[in-house]
Amino acid sequence: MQIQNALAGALILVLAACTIREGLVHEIGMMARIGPGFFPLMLGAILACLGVAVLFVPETRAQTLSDMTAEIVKTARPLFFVSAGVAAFALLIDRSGLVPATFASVVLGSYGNRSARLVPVLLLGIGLAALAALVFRFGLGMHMPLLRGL
Amino acid sequence: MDFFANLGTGIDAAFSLSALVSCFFGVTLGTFIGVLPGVGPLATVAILLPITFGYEPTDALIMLAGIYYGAQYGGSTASILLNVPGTATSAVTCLDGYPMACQGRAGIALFITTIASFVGSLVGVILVAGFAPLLSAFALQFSAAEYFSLMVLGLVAASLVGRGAPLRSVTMVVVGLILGLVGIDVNTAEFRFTYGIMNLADGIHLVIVATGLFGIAEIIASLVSPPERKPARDITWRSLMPSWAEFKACIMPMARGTGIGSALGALPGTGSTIASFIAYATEVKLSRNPERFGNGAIEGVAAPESANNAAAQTAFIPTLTLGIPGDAVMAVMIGALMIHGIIPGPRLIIEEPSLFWGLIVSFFIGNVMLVILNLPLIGIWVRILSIPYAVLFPSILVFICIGVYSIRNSPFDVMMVMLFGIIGFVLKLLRFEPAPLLLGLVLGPMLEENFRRALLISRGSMMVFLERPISAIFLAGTLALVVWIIVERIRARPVRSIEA
Repeated sequence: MQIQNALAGALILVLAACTIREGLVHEIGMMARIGPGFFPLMLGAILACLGVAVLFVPETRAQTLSDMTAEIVKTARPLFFVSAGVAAFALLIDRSGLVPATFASVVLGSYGNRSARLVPVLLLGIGLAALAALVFRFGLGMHMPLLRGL
Repeated sequence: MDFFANLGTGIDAAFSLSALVSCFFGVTLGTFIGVLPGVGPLATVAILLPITFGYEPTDALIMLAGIYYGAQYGGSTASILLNVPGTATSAVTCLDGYPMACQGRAGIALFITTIASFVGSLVGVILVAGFAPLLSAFALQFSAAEYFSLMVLGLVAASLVGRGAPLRSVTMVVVGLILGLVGIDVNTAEFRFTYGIMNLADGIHLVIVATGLFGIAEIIASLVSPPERKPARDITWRSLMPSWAEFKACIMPMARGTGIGSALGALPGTGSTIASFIAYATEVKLSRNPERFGNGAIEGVAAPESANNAAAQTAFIPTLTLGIPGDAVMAVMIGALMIHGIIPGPRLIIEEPSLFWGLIVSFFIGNVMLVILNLPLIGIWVRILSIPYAVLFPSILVFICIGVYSIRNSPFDVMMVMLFGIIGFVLKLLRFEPAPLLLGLVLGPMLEENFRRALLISRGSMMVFLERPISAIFLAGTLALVVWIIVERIRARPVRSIEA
């Protein structure tokens, strides 16, 4: 069994189990009037079969564990900073408004790039925050506070 | 209503100022993102979807559609000049387009591309105008059972025929269907898959999933391995014109490419990428001296470009008349229509004539705009390619955040985008293709609804799906497709890799 298939199959089976559980929580109903539980149950069962198939059918190029860790290590930096950028936006937008949220997400997100340097990143953050304010608040007239308290 | 009255309705709708502006904005942006490698039409349509919420539905759809077919024009520019396909559909154009550019015939290649794209699109639009009403008249006889079976066929076809590993694609479709169930069940008002999180009650918005899986994941992927960029030569206006002999050599390839593209575009699951590959392969097979291909054969540019543009137009036939998307971008289009309260399906043409015919007329206008836009702007597109990615990707990131937030002013949704970005990474790591998931997500609720309704009408007999002839044909087609794929895979033992 390939490492990728093992992980993929396991993931799919866990998802199938959750789906079947959700199906069982709700009423299954009769065939003439199926309840909200029927479809999740059916899809969960199908997904479980597919999950088993994914486990055993070699579909992808074989990869060793070290190949996979290498791929994760390579992606870790952009994944972390880009996610952090989005999260920062989500946390700041209601608390402090569009401008700080945009600035924070640009600055954090930019560090996903290995060659990011502080000064250009800060300038880009200021520029994009201003642009976002212009385009979305004034241009498209969306209702979001630019800066909380103003 | 006759055809010309309909066309008149369309002309009225498409020539309004707001529609023209939307169309212009859409095709320009489409060309732009088509030219830029690493930003696809799918991510762009998904990101821009929230902005169109405030528009008239017709204008919104005209703009989103413009992005889609505009990207087909732009994609080839990067293929030819830089040997980097701007979109997947123009990957084949690299094969002969880039050698032409190396021989100093870049202008000719770009000119022929524009003409070929225009021809392909035009024929595609005419087919949409001609066939969509016929198909929808046929589809009006469909009951819930037919719809269910057709959706099953569409989903299976889309996941099996597309690129990638078939088993994993079908798995992704099912995962998408399950995601589509999240939220309040429409029939019983019970909460499913919400796990006590009230923000999930309305379900997971399509835009969130699409921007997370494609937008965020694409940004991360291109930060890991940045898209290649090579400096391009200057293009002068005079170097654009092909000779008469070159032009003549392209006429038949364009016609064949258009034919192939139109046919494949209208089928669910195939779409413009496959169409362009098949059109190219056909030209190589038909050619008297196939060794010219790959070394700058002008037919190798003309045929696939006609094909992918024709397919991009005819893909609207099943989307608008049956409500069955052929690919993930079309799934987002359906999502856009539904957000505006319009249910795509056979009644769309009758109930929303100004939307349907307005869209058709806007296709004409958009394509004319694209030709006018593309020929003189080639030089500018080339310069745009030099925008550093360090500036481009944070801008896209911010755009995604604001766009998703604006759906319903919910920071929770923005967090969900982050989550789906991470899910997108995990899927990529495990070699799952996320596009079928999106199809499942859009069709999931409809599939369940029609399944329930069919069983309700048949008083619980599952045989209803087999007793009704049209439904039985769809299911037989699904089965045939599955068997064919399995047989093909057993025959071709060497494992197909899905490095994407």
